[in-house]
Amino acid sequence: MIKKTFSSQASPNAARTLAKSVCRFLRENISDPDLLYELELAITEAFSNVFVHAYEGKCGGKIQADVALQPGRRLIIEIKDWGSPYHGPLEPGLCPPRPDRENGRGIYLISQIMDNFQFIRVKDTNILYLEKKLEESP
Amino acid sequence: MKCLNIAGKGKLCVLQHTGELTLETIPEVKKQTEPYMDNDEIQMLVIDLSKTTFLDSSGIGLLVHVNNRMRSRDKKLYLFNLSTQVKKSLSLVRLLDFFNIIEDETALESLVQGESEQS
Repeated sequence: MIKKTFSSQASPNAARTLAKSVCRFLRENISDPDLLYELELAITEAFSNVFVHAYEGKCGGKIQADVALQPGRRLIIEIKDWGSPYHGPLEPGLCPPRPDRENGRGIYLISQIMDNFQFIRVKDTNILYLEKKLEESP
Repeated sequence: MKCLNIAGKGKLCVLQHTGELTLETIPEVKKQTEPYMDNDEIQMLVIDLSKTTFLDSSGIGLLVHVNNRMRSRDKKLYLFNLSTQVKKSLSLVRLLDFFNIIEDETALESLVQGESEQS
């Protein structure tokens, strides 16, 4: 199990930069470019969600990602923030939003990419638990 | 986003997007796209996404917004030459069938030709 923690201050720019940092780390152990793109997308959505919803679009709150990787087996990422409690869907099983809807696809995207996701509130901390099963390299 | 070409007496406009279409970049892209959506002479807007390297839900939201605005004015939006990343993102949210998509140069030329003949 390889573990690494990433953190940053919330902002649109930082959300993307932090997602890129996590994916640079994942690239050292995952070679499938399709999977890497999907993971980068899910992580970017999760960080953007923290900025937009937990911190209500205000810059400066802390975002932390605890990454645990078992190469060829599974990836677990816990994304933490200390903003407002999350009020959206708490676990997978989401329907796609109406095609002409202009927002609200972030969690749906995450649900399409990850095998498991869950929102947990522990005291003043929001935790988004993300899990993806990984295939053994041939 | 830059305007590459205006054909058919200005009724069709092709915009090229380069780079990422994300929460971080959409405010600027939206600002650059607005004049083309509001221009009464432009009836068809084509956005070339061949050089778009990353598309998140905010970027998808912007494309839906442009499509909604164009449709509300009886105009059409076409997405052209989607990069593999754009295809992947649109496929994950099941929107590949929602947009008018032009696959290649030949199809674009036919559209430009048709528009020129109508003008």
